[in-house]
Amino acid sequence: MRRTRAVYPSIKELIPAIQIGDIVFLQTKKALGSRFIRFATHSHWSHVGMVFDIIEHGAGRTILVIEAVENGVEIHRLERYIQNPETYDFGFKRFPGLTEIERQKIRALFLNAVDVPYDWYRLISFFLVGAISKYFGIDIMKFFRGSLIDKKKFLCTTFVQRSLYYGVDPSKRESTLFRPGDKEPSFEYRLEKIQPTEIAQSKNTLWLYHPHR
Amino acid sequence: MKSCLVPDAQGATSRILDLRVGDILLIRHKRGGPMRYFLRTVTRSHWDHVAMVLYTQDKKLGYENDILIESIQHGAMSRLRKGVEIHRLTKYLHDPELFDVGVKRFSWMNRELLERVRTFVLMNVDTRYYPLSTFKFFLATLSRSYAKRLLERQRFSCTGFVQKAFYMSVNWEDRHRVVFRGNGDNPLELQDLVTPADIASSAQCKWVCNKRP
Repeated sequence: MRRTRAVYPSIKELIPAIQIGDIVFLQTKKALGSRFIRFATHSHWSHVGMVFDIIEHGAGRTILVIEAVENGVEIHRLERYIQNPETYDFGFKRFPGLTEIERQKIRALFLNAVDVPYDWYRLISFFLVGAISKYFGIDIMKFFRGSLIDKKKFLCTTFVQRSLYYGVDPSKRESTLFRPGDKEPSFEYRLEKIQPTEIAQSKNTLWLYHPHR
Repeated sequence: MKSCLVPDAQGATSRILDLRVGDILLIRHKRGGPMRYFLRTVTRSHWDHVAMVLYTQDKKLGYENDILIESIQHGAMSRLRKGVEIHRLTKYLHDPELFDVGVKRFSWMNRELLERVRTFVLMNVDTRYYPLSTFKFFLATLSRSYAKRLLERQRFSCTGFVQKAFYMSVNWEDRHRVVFRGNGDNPLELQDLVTPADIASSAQCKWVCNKRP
């Protein structure tokens, strides 16, 4: 992949420009789980979240990130990642053209998702099914796709895709899909089977900071 | 006092009526383990935890849940899971066998002040928890003089967080109106040493429902 240029070359320039709904990419450098996901998905990133709120105050901006993590959907401060560069690497993308009303709707979707459990079953199943398909040449995914999806739970990537898809005006929904050219006949499956690398490579979003596939 | 707890079909509380941002939630963990028991005994209170309403259900804005913020320590790996967190209020409502909840309010605060309180608490998401020693609290249940000495220096995260939020957010001349402990503490002491019992017994804020000492 040709190296893409970011809009903001440094964190200092990025922070004042961050908006609600921006996508945060994360790599936990030494965590085994993160390494496994990066290896299996051929990506620099192992996790994604979104900007939930921005608190303006005298000392600057506090940016809150919402993410589907192992205990469910949680809200954390971005500083938690920025202040630990030895542990975390992070990047930022934006779906351009979000209106204020759409941002408010996305925020409402975020709030409704707080404490929704993480979909461990789906994560493990995807890796198992993917490994079987790769090493035995059998596409068993088509037999499982319906049963793997639980819409009451989230993976980090499906949380981002669903928030964007349902947050924008219905006429713009198609343009939020991270797998736009997918021939997959099941729409639900297109919305749910997303990897960090697909969001990183998607052409419908713009790199703000630190681009990697 | 009129009950504002709305029961569901199974008899559990499904929600609390007419909640407002900044309302103080007093919580009793009915099966919370020895530390909770010691804390209630030493402070002679029905309550052992405090949280604050952060967002209320608002169908117009698309908010389907009441959301709270609290400073809490929990989880199997408590070293990694402690501090200021955001959750759904239903976490404390769905099972009356596990929790009892009461609500208090500073009814004189206007929307602008409450927005400041919300901003303050959001800026402090992920702030660490002060550890409480189960052994020291056990000793305090045996000796009133030791209990007095312990309570004179033990910091309480959940209540301290709520006290600081109000104290730091209101105008300078109104600070005395949000102090829960009226016993001549200096500003640092009154922000750190306040217990759930102090909030429950404080005349500064009014009971909205489930009044208990």
